[in-house]
Amino acid sequence: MNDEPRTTDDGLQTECTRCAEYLDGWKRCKADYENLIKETDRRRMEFTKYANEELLSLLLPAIDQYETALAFTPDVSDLPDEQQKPLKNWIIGLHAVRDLWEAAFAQIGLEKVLTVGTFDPTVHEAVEQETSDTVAPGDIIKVLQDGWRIRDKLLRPAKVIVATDPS
Amino acid sequence: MSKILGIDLGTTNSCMAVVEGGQPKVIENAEGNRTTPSIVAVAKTGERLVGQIAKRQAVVNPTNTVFSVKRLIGRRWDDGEVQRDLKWLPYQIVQKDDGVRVTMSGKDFSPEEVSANILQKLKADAETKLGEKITEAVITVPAYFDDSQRQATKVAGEIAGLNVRRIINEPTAAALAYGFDRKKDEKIVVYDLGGGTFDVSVLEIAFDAGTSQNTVEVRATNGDTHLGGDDFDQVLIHWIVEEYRKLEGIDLSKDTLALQRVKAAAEKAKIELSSAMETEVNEAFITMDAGGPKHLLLKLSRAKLEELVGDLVEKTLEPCRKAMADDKLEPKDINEVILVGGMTRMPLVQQAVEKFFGKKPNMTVNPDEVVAIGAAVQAGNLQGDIKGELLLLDVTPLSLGLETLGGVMTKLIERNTTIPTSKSQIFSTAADGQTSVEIHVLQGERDMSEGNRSLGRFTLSGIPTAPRGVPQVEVTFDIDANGILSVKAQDKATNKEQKITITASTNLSKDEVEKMKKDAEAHADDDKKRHELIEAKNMAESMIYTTEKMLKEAGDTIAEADRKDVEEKIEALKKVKDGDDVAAIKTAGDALATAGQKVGEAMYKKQQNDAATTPAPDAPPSDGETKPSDDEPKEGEFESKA
Repeated sequence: MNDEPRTTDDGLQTECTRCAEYLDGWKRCKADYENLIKETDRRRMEFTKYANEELLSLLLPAIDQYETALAFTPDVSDLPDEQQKPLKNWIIGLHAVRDLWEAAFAQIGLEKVLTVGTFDPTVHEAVEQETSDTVAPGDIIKVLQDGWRIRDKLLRPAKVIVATDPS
Repeated sequence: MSKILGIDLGTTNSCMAVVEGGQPKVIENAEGNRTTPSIVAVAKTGERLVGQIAKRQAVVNPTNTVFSVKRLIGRRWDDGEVQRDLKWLPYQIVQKDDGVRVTMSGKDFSPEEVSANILQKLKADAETKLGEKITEAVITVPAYFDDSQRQATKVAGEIAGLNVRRIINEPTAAALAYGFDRKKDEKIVVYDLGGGTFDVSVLEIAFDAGTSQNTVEVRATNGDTHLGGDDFDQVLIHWIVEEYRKLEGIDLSKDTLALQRVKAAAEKAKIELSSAMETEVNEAFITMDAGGPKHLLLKLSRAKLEELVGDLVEKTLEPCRKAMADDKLEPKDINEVILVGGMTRMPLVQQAVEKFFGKKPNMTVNPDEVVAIGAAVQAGNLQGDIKGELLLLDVTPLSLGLETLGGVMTKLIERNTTIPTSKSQIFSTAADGQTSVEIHVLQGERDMSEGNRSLGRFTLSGIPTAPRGVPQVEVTFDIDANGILSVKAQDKATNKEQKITITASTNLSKDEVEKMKKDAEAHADDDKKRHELIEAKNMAESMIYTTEKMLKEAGDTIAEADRKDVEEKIEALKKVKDGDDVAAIKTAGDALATAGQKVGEAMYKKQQNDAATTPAPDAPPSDGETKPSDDEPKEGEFESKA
């Protein structure tokens, strides 16, 4: 950029145009800077609110598999008492561990997405559709993976199988 | 004047960016994501869905969910591409005159209208994020798009309520993102491997005498419209399923839930192996048989992944050869290579490109966003945010500061600070009665002054005599847009000032700057230790001075035993403060601080007692008492240094 001023009378208009351009550029930069401050403040507040998002996203697969493991709890009722008791106790312990993180999640505003009733693409992701005699078309038959929401933001949609019209 | 939006309207995903503060910046959509799936659907309720929400219901509404509409936009019905895509796209494609329509919920839409839905969502989300109306855009298209396809894309923008200021080629946008439009007479290859398509383009930057500006010309283009990241995922999914079948005799592809988990695990493993040499596919309780629950636990190395997908990477090189041949070029003729698309994060892809072209490809800009960034740069150019000559601001390459007590460098302006800039800090004197200060201006990254470059010195004299730490000398470092540094020192009591102007503060060569940075890194530990020692010594000096002064002022108000204890601690600190043992200095300092608290306590107690026994101001003093002087410090008043 050439900042050397011209000295001829003809150059006055050019200089005025340049001045106006510089002033506009300066105002724009000032405005951008003020907007950056506002945006930084907004992002800082958002970050504070959702700071745990990435960490939680990394932990969720482990939570998923833990829940799956609990779902596969073996039936020990046929075993002799002396074998049943320690296993039952161990299973109680596993449930107690789950209760710990559920309490922690409640504290930070992390909750599961509801997966009962009509399929809702804002919080559910359909991975399959199946016919069903008992579930109305468009309703959720089965949950393959839980969805999670932190405060008002969807962290991960629930993966579901949706009933389809048999016809 | 509102901002012009730069939009990468992709086949699988779209992205948008604007220029803010002279820098292009990607804007997140309403869902908080930086890219938006290029998918539009009409739900069973009749509601129009766009983006991630449309993608999530695609499986249950396949005939009313339109994706990859970019493959159809601006094409004729009898176009070979249309007839091929007709066979595999799950939604209905119909003929209208010699054009194409897609059907959603019994109604026909042109590809322009479908693309307009995507652009409308991007526009609305940008308006929400920026807090201003968006009426104009720059939209990118593949280099091979003909006039009809470009015009159709422009129409899509207009339907969305956007005045499309420019349609630019995607590889050109990528070049703009890197600033390569300034590289006159250079040849640039853009290698774009995305989710579903592969494109390679050869660009030439030429000087246009008519406009006195550089122009970017697409000299050749080639690719594969059905080769992308999805194909890499499929290979890995297939391998996992086959390995598991060998191990457990179970076909996971027959189990919906298991297959879902395998797909997610495959994509995750592929991404992890771009940075790690090995990963584990860990999906416990993936299925069940008569023997109970079964787990999928497979180790996958980067080498194995590269073996599996090697053919796909090799497949991208043939279009590269063809594009080069079309422009009669050889790899040695290429000056720069740019990587675009998420798949280019794979080390094997980067290595293959480097080997083919004989040079390291550029990948510092996020490959998923580089086209949108380039569109924003073009938008900024049009708007005047980024001038044709470019209003560039410099940065100061190394930190600037001055020498303080103990030979330490105190930084005022950190390196890489954009200039022009100004920074001030208040300093004080180091000794009682000091009436001048020397300002030694330094440049560099080392903690100790002697390791840095001396830019100049000057002295500010005439400071009123005062105890150490009392005078306030404001030192201001100011760098103008031309890199000229002015350092001013002003005594706040007398307003006396001195200054120095240094013209060479940003004149270091790149090599010199790098050498100084490397020196600082190499000596970082040593410098840190020395700095700690100096700080400990300074602290010790200060404590000794303050405590001795306090003892003098306390007089006989403190008990002899306490006085003796404090004096012993002072002597102990004096013994070690000139040595090199930081820990010993700190220990002796802490001991003195604890002992010194008793002095402070005694002084406050005396003051309280005096206040309790002192008569009313007008009452005559009783025998043995002296009337407090108005000059003595009053309780509740204090001086603080700014």
